[in-house]
Amino acid sequence: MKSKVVPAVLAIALVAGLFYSEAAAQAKSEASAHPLMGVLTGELHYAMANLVAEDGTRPYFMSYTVYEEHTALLAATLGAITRDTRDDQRSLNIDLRVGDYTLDNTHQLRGGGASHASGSGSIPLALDGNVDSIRNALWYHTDRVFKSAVKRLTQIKTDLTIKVEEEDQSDDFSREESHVHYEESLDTVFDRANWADRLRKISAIARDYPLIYSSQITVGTFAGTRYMVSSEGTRLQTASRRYRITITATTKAEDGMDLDQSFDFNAATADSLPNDTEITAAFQSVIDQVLALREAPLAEPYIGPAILSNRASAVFFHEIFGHRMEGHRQKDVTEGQTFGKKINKQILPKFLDVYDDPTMKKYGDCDLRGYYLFDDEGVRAVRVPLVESGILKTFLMSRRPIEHAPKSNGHGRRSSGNAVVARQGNLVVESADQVTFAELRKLLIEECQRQDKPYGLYFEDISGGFTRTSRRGPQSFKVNPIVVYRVFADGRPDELIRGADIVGTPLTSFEKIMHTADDPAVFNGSCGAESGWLPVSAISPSILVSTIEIEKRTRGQSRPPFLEPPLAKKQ
Amino acid sequence: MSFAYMTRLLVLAALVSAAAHAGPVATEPPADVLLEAMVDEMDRSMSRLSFEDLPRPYFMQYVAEDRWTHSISAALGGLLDSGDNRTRVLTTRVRVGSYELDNTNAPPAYGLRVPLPLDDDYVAIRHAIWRMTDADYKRAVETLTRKIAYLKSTNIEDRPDDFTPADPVSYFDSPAHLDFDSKEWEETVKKLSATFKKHPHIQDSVVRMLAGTSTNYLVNSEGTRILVSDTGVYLEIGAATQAPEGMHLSDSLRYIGERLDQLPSADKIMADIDEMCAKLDQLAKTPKLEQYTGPVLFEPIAAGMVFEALFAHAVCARPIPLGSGGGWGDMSLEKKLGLRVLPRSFHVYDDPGPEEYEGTVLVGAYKYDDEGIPATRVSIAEKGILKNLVAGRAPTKKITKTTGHGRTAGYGDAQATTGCLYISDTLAMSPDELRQELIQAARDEGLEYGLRIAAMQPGGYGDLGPPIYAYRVFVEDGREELVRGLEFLPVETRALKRILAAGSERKAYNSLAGVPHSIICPAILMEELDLKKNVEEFDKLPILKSPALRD
Repeated sequence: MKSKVVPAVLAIALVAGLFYSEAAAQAKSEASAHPLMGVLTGELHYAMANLVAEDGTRPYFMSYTVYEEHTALLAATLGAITRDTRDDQRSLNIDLRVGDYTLDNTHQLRGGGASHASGSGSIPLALDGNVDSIRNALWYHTDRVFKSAVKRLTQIKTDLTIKVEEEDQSDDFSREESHVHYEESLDTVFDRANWADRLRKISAIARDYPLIYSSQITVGTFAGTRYMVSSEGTRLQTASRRYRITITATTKAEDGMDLDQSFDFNAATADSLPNDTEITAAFQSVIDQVLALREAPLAEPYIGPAILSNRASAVFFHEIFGHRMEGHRQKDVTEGQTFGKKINKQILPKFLDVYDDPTMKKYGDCDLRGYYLFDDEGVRAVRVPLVESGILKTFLMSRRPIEHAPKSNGHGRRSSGNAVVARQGNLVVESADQVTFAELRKLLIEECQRQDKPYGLYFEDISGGFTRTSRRGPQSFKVNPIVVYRVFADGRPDELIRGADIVGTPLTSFEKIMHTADDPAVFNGSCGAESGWLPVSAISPSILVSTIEIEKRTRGQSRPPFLEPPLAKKQ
Repeated sequence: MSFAYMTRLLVLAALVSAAAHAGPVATEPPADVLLEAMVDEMDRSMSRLSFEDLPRPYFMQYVAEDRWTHSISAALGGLLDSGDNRTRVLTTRVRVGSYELDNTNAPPAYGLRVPLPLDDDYVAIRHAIWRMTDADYKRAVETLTRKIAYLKSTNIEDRPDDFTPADPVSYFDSPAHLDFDSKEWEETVKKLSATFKKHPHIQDSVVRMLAGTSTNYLVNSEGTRILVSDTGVYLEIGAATQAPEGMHLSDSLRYIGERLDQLPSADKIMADIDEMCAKLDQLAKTPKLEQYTGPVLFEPIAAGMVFEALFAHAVCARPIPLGSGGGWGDMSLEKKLGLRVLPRSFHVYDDPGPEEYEGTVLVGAYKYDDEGIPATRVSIAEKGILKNLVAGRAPTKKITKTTGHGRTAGYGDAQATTGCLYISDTLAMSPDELRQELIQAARDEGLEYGLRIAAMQPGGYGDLGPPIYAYRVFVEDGREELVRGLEFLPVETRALKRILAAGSERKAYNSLAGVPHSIICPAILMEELDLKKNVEEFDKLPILKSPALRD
């Protein structure tokens, strides 16, 4: 593969105010650099040297990121394969900035037009490495992205003149060290035929359960390599692999409430995936749980003490706390900025520390989905101490600075096609006040007695939820617990209930954490936000809160099926 | 625009509905697990689906589409994408009430759709059908209740019945098969896309290929059992460039066939690409026109697009959906039945039967429509007088019998749609005579030139698409000059009455917009149309030299 590289230092010297580490990039480059890197670099240099608008505007920063993604997915229901897909693609994202580090085309617009710059979108690129094809796409779209950047900067300058002064005067782009790092490119490792047989066999268990109205076992694999070059000298080629098995089963209660339960396995290598016995057991357990829910009494509105299990608590922290730690939300004028002015103030109980550390590959034996070494702006990920002894220290940062945090801490993330924002990686909640889970239960009962409540709640599993951080509408959240028990103060056995939704406002929820257990566990999930769907992890011990509020879930009004399911084989 | 973003959905619909192939046909149902599961669950649902005093279904239809497609795309010799996809989708439609009044022709005007297991597993397939039938039945009961309440409070004059009974049909194709060597075709598509390397002025290009097979199952409670197999091949090549002042110009080539050997040779396609690029290059250098009012001559494919925009939709008998305020009725020619709508020498009929027209595969051909009715030939206009409309099983005020034209693009209920519309003129002229007619018409208007449209983009209901290649034909000496920058102002269907002349040579235009259909049409000369300047602002030309021009 050929590539044309213009003299790098010369080209870059035309752009003011850059510290440039191309020399370092070349010194460190290794044999494992994919030929694509050379093509990207050559076109980047050419564009940086030659892109100039009629008014003299030039880009001060550019990067090309290519996401090469190989995915395969198999799903089975009742012994039959229902989905069987494979997808291979390479997509290009162009990040191009005009103006300078203090003010550029990504600045928020406060009136008229899209408030945030949308990025280049996801541009298909030749999978086979054909140089002519790739170079033409780079050229064609770079030109398009540059023109829209120039147009947007003009709008921003007008906007700044006619609107009131901005509260947060921080820069638009932080200066960061550039990195050179190469990992081998990855392709899918997936024994499709073998998995198809396994899924058929395991999914057929549901044939014995007429009350399970739908069920599915899905196995998905992802193998990705990200190629990134920037005008600051970044040369990154990073790879990631992950597998996920998802099990779901649904039914409907006699009163029309739809009930579902799910479970998933996550692994970073094929070797660490569960065997058939483990998957079967998990499926059986999901079926048993959803059928138990069908018989469970309805939740009543309740305010009182509760325990969130470790995994439930991890979801709770990710949704309600983690999203409010994302730095750009403190600057965005449409955001509620819950914690914007709380730096160095107490926001959690003294015994809690919270940090986000994408560089953790595993927690115990468990592979973490939120693992990465460099973020989508090429910044090295670091462990970020968000809260120390209950005191808010900083935020999760991309290269978009805010008042208290002028630098990135390697949390600028996106999926292909979106503009980068600050996101979570591996969020970890640690506690200095640990008791055993059995003791935590005792403390729950004591708290019930103190508050004169007949029972407390135990949230064993939470499927997910949403949180509203916008300034429009109330700052609130809702999470959907699936498995909730009443824990009685008088010692009766626990009682499973259904249809409870946790509601509340974020600031007050955190003040009510009383104790934690010594049982941290991992929740591996996919998180959707403005920069796309990303793999994340959250780790937390079980927590006891003095008050939690639940409301009755709105339920479907349609009846269970009129005819019995046709589960008999045709004679 | 970037062709690489072009959706492939549009094409998928076309493939599946492409002409029914002629294979061995059986009248006894084959041993087919999917068919058995559909029939068994329908039988059980029709006999037992009821609850307390809720109305029972009086009619049910299941359609299952089993498709396999492989898509390949490439640009400038590089492979962008290659992969196959297998889907099985079930659409249910449960009707409660009676033929006179049921839950259809009122929102929601669609059945429920659900993916089915891909394995031939009787239990798993039947289970999925059971769930959807239950949901569709409940929805049908709710809709009927709402509809009855609406009718009690609203006065609708001469409301037609909702549905007509039909005789059962049995038809079973043998399974479709397509020998497709994906590696070989990847190389071909790459090679075709590399042709653009010879044309550095083309800024963006893509070659996209789709090949696939489909088996459609249709089962209804009247006893109809249909299994239609089909194969399809589609190749699309798009190119875009800019004129010197920045105007975006694009063109595309499309090849449609049922079998791979119906595609032209790679050499022929590469020659077509060269020709397209040369024409685009020429177009970029031509003058822009500001405005034109006068006679317009449309070459056959462009004329097919004119009839698509102004005529094809208007000759479909579609009931006016409840609560719609009758908006659709304004478009329909139903009220003009028996009146003249075209020149006196024009004849129009629709016949979905023939699968080709002079070597061109017709995407609008089919044997049975999406309501299980055999397609029939319908005489629409004779001597310019509107005689009949194409119809499905939902009656309108004047049309109460289906002609086998109830079709759907996959979502939404079947509705009357043309299949293959044949347009002819008994006074047809040679191409040369037609040109002379254009010149004469321009001269009569005192114009310096007339306009000839050699190619244009497809339009929408009542809107003609923008011309791609328009020529002004000078009255003075008959010379032609390519022009650009014009688009049509809205035109009404009655403009077709003032077609001045038509050609003897006809060509088949295949449309993939919505339900695939074909229009076999001669060149037409229209008396007077208005065109205006299409854009006022242009993107600037690229700042950077393209890689091809750089080295």
